[in-house]
Amino acid sequence: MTMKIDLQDIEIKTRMALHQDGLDEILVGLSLGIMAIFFLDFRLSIAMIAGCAIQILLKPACRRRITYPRVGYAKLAESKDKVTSRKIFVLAIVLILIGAGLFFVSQLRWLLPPYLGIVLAGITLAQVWRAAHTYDYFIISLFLASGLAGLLLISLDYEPRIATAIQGWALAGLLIPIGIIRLNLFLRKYPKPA
Amino acid sequence: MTKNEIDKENLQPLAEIDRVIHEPARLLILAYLSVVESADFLFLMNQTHLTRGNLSAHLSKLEATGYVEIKKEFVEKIPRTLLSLTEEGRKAFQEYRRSMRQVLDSLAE
Repeated sequence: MTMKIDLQDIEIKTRMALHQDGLDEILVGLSLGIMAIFFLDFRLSIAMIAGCAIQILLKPACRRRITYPRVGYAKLAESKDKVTSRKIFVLAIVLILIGAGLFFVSQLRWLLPPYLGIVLAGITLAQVWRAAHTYDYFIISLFLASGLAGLLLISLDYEPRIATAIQGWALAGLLIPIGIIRLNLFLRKYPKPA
Repeated sequence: MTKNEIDKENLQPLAEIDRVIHEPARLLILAYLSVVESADFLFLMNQTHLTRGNLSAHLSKLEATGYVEIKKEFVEKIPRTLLSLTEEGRKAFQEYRRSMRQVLDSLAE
């Protein structure tokens, strides 16, 4: 028997084991779908709050009921130079709000879709830093591509705020089915222990 | 320096290898625990593919050596038995990696 122990590979496997349930995709998709309403009308900030609530409240509850009883629980080590995922999430929301505000009062509204794509790609990259899997790069590319798609919509005479909302819904439309497929595979691979 | 003394010097890192960590299953357990802050029994069992009895026996040995700490804690309102590397365990694991590298380097020469 040969055994190869690569600590970086183990770190990737550990993170993937805890995130193979598809819940990230489903819940991020749901959040983006709801948050997109905010871009249609900035007065509807309740959509932003609802999107955040899904991430803060629903995700841990789902993991507790679905993931941990099947694959077990592990708390990933946070190195000193690594910011926690909650801090990254708060930073992302602040960046989205500041960006949305700044771009809409200036003449740079057309920058909002690529900005949103870059912020989402940035959050994902920061969370998987040092232990990224090929699948993470696929998700990062999806976010960046959504920014370009938003720009394309603007070039087709769509209002920037409508293009950004469509970007959010399109991402939700892609991420939720991906998440459901992954969740289904996860539940088959790890049936709930009796 | 005599041939015997040279051999003794070259083989010194081999003699320093920690036998508790050198066992493949225990090495795998320590490798997993080194990348997490803490993990429960089920998680380690799934990742290492060891049987319940086997994992339990290795963990007992690691706990007795002082390399692994076993604590019962409430995580998100659910009681869990969490396993983590102690400071001593982390140091021993790093030292083991250093010694092994040294041994393998000397073999390559």
